[in-house]
Amino acid sequence: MSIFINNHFLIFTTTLFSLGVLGLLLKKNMISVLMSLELILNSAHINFACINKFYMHSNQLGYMWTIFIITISVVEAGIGIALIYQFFKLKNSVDINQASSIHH
Amino acid sequence: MNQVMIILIESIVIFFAILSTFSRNLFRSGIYLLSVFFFISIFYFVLGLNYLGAVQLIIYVGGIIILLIFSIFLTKNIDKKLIFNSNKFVILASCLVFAFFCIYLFLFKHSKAEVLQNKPDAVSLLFENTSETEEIRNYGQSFLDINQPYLVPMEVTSLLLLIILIGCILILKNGNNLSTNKNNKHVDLH
Repeated sequence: MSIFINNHFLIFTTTLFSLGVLGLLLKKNMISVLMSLELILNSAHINFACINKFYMHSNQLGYMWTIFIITISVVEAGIGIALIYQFFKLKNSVDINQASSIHH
Repeated sequence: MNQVMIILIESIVIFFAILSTFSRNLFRSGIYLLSVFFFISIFYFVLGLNYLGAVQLIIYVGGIIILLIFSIFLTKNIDKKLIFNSNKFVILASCLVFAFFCIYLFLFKHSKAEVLQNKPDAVSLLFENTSETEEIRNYGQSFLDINQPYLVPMEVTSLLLLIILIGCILILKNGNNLSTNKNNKHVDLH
């Protein structure tokens, strides 16, 4: 049990990741799906940062990955919102089930 | 005391994440997500990772959430209730995620990784006395040092951001052309 108490941040990030996956699977709105993806990416970069903070003092590889994941999530949000906006202009809806055929 | 504070912040983050995931109002869901990001940045500050906390605050709270809320306004979804998938699918997805969570905890408990087993006083490393300027200088020196392996990923990251910026502009521009053509065809037919 002590392993869970001493490494509680891993439980925290797993819970956050699970909530993100649950949102990704459950929601039909594209913007909500994007929000769930943000939760997943957040849990990933918290994991990298905490492991680097607690266990890897000699290098900064975890922080490097954290910054890289933050960049990826910015990129994902930018591209995702641009695509959602275009999809909304074409179909007048942001329902993910209508995106099965994306050509107009 | 430090550990209690961190666990408290973690609980707050999970609470707002649950609210964000299960809220039926999209705008409220966005606001709860803002709280999640804000408390994650506080989590970083408490851990002593000031640079990452500032980056989290600026990029997520100041950037991505504003973008998401604007997209909620632009797609006129502000008044609509969120529609979840069917009940059958909800149960299936919940079971899947719960199974994943249990498998992860099982693997974690039986992990033979030294980093997890041999550092029982990991939390005592918190609140190390490193000043903010020293921390940021360390990042800069290690990320931009040619002898370290981090230089190429940093450059790739910055290039990726530039390419995506141009890509977003192109998507929006071509989409405008498409919708204009569609309107013209519509007018021609009449």
